[in-house]
Amino acid sequence: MDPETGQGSPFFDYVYGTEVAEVEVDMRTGKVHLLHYVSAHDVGRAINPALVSGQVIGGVCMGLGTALLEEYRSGHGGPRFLNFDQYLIPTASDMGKVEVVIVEGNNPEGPFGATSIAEPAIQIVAPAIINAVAHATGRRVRDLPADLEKVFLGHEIERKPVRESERSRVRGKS
Amino acid sequence: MNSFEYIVPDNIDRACSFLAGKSESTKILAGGTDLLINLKKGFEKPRHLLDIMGLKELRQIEDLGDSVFIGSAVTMTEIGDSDIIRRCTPFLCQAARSIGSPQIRNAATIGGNLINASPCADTMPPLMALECAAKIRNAEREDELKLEDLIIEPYQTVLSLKEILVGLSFRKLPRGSGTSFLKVGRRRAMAIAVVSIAVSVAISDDGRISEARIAPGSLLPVPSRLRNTEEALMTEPPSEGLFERVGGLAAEEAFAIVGTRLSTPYKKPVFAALVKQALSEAVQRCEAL
Repeated sequence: MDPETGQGSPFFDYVYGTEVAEVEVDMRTGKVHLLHYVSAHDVGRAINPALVSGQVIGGVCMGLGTALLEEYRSGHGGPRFLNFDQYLIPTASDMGKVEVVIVEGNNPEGPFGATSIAEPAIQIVAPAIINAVAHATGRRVRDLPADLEKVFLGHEIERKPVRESERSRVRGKS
Repeated sequence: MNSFEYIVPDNIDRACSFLAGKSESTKILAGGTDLLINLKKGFEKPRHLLDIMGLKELRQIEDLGDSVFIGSAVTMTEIGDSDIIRRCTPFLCQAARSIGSPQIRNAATIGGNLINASPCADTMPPLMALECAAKIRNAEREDELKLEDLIIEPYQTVLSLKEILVGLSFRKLPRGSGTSFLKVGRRRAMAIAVVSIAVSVAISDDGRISEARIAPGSLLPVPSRLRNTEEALMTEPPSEGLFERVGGLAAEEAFAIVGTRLSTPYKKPVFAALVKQALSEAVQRCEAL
């Protein structure tokens, strides 16, 4: 990057990863369970491989929440969920077996060929899980999270409109 | 949180006589998984907290031959681990183990689960199927009440502030009965039931279902059995086809009570499938008991 013009390559390196999800879907209830997950990432030289694995497993857990549970909902001028008893995130019991594959590529720009392994561990988890759900059920959920209702019915449960924009939409329909 | 006086009575008579004098300003503490949250949020402002967790009479599970008694301050962990409960009523064991997390199950009590009277209380379906009688005490006398008479609307019981739930008793299920408890939650732990079901069935010598009890959870405003569906189950020999039809009937019977809600397009077919699966499991377990 040229400090004078602010032009050049915005990223000194891109991160590369591949992830595979295996899920089980209970077709009677729409419940998705993660059975097995493989997460492979090029991180450069892993000086502390256990730390890299921990980062990746944590990313899988967060991504699992994005895929199946977590959703910000607002209403009455603020967030509707104010605590983790309503805003659900995965528990240890919800985690499947995770296999971490550390690929030690050599990025010439980073020290010891390093790239990064924080966000990269999270970003493609939800797509992998949603693809696995689509493969299992033959039906694709197109907005997250893929909760019980969306997986079972193929669409969201109609909710009572809480925002003025939603109310006017409902009025417009009728 | 408001300050309060914390009282630990030596026995149930002392607890009742304390309540007789100070019922208006006292809350009973039996685990506190709901009460402590309400105290912290300021929803409840009692001047006295009467801790009944130390009362021996309330802490026992007793096999009385034909019947079983469970003290109201028995924890969910103790119910889940109890040989008596596992032997006599496996579905109550399953329900207790499905609640919250180990920390919550160590504190939460069966009496609290009942008296809180939430429509989604996990132990309610099996307790309804067991036709439990609630033993109630006050300073003067002891009464017994059926669960359907105890809980009159969501989160509301008929107990007066001077009364303590001592425990629950129920007759053992008929010999050879099989049971099942199934719960749909959004995750595998720390999950409030979206819908649940407890069933018990007994099979007579001719292979027919001689007795059936079906109690839904997280569905009806107050606990109730599905009596018409139970009748229908006894009309022909058990088969997957029968269970499927009865599942549909159960959904019709339950949703006739609650009416159509936003969640009905999901809950109704899922409940029907759950009933079918629970019946199938219970019948398979019939010989095992």
